[in-house]
Amino acid sequence: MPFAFKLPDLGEGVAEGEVVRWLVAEGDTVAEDQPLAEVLTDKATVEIPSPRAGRIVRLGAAEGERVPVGHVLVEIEEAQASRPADHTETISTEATASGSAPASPTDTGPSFSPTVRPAAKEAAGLLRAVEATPAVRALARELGVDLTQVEGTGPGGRLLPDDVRRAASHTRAPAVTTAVAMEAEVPATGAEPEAPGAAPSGDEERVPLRGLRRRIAEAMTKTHALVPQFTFVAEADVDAVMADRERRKAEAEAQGVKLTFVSYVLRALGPSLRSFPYLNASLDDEKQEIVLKKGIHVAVAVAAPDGLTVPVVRHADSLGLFDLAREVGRLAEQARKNALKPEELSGATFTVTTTGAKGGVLATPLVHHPQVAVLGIHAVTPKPVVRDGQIVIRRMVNLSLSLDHRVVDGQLGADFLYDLIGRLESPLEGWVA
Amino acid sequence: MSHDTAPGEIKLLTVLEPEGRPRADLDADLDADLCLRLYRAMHFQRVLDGRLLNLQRQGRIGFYGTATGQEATTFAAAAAVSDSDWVFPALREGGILLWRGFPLESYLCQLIGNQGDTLHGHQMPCHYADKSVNVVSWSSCIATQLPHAVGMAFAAQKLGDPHIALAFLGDGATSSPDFHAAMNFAGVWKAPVVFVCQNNHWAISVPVSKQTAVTEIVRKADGYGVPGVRVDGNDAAAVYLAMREAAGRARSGGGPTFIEAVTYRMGGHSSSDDPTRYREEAEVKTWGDRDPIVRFRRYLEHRGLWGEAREAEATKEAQARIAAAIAKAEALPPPALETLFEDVYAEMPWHLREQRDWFLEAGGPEGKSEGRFPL
Repeated sequence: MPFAFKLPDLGEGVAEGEVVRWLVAEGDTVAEDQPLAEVLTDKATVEIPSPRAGRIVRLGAAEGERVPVGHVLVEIEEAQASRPADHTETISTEATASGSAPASPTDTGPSFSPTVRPAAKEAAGLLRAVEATPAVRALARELGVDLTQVEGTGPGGRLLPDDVRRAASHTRAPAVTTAVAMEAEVPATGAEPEAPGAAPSGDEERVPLRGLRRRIAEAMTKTHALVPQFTFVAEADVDAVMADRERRKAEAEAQGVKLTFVSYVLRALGPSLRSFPYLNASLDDEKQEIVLKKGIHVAVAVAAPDGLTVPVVRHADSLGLFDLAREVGRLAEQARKNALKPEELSGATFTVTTTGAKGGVLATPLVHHPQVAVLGIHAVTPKPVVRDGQIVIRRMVNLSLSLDHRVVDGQLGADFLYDLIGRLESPLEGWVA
Repeated sequence: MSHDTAPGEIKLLTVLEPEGRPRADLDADLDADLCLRLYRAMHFQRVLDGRLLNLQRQGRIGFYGTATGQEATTFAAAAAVSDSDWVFPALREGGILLWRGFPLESYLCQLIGNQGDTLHGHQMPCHYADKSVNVVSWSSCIATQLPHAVGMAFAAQKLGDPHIALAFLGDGATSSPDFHAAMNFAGVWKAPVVFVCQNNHWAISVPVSKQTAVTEIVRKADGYGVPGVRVDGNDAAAVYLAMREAAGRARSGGGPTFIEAVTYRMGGHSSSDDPTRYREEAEVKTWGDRDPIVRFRRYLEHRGLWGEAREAEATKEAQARIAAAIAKAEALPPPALETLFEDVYAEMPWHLREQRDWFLEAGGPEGKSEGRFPL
């Protein structure tokens, strides 16, 4: 069977790593310590050397893929006699220095301790961890509460004094019975019935918060806790834009470009962000400085297999309409393949997100800290509107702009949005080009 | 050699030119056998560090920190004192255990934390210590070892014990309160201690300029009435001579010395660190050109003590010795469960004895309780 090399914890508590680059391919023969891959973690990018000599049978991840610690990174068909275990027969007690010599492996076998009794072993599997301070344990003893049967409400499920008191008041059996159980052999608790909520029950499923989902959770918690934000919504008449799009669609397709409405918004955004530098900014909380960004790099939220991701269109203000459309298409494709490079995911100065075909009327997108603004684009919908005293049908779009109120006030935010809308509604030759 | 720490320019004590030629007539001062032993130790450490960092990347050990770039200071300092003088390490001086004859297999067992680890897995990997070689336990806290070293030295002085203390510290440690306490008492008591400050320019990611306003750290010694020397830490001969003089002073009742060894940490702070995030490649390259091992090798070649063939042979030997030791160490089982409760108190208190007994009953082999214990 090939040797399965699992991604190790590369730095004191790293949970996952991203394979940046493979340095070997399936079928390659590798020597021990030969570099296999570059892996990026929260702490560092490191080269992973092969623990074994042999032939690479399988690579366990694509470049750009994030995998958890313990995931099989690579399978190696070993060359003969390269396993450290082959040296087992040479082990002797001489391996230790002065001081206590370990018992030779034949005395203890591969397990730990000879003092464990069989009864304890069986019960051990049924025990669950109890997290409580000594004071809480003392209280539990006093009140006759079996801590293994109580659900903790403290951080990480820690048992608090109130949990113990609550459990004491609910205990149906006389306290003295439980107290006896506490004093008895620990294994006795293994026979107790399952406490409510102690184990996963049938009416809920628990999904671990991992990878991209966890990253999103962390980023959103941070931005929500840190940034006092508000949302301003306005609508734009994009009839002319949509007509232009229909006109040019075939031309775009001929060039392999999918001309989307969002490309027009991105095209219109550049000049607006130039005119309103405080919207293309960040707040340096530590230095108490507003940082006005010279480059305009717009992140565009796209769906990826594991959740939402926001690749960045760099220098968005310097790209033409088709180039913008092409770049967004390329980034979305990379996102779907989980193949975005770190530099394609960082350095944004402004974010655009869309609400999809169903659109909605209003959204409160969250500012992506340390940026100060995010623009939500709703679906383009034909609506009755009043023009020259007449009700006519025009294609309209709602735009929801969320702002970091520490940097941008309502008036400035509204001015910016109306500047953008003004451009979208003005003759196209003036800005699309 | 001048040890002038008065205001004005401070001399950097250097005796080997970059191409290995001695600045003074050193050969008589540096015994050929000693030179060879010193070189072999530095060279072995370099090969060992490369291999062990790989082991960490493969998940076979949990953590590692290399001494790369700082081998000269570490080993030349150890070479200039008696093997039974007490060493209070900072964090890159593990090689001194090997210098003093600690078995390589046990050294590797410490990294794994298995049954062959004389510390029974109680320390972080790479935080070596052993009574048999008079190297005390590392502390991950900064500078806490310094008052201990002074206390030990002061006690030795009072008891008429001939041993001195060799206390290592980094540049960052000189900005800590324990440094002040230690230096102050060392100065006023004339304790037989030598402080060796490995100024490797980086306290993890903090450069010297961000943690102290003094440009030459050795100036701090003046404030405590402790003689100071600033030495080229990448020059094994210079470190050896400075250290020998300092050790002689300590042993003859002359009191402490502070040595600032100017060197450079070529690798990351540890296996968890990525130095490319905070320092320039050009700086690393500059110091790479001042490699202490290359410089000392050139000196040995200059004396006709070393050559390409010996170098290749030494590398091969080191690799084979390390590979064999790793195989032996990796085959050992984890420490016995009860060792978890040992080594803290000379006599185990009743509450620990009770916990140990519960633990051994319920803990079970192979982690049947999934590593959890219902305390």
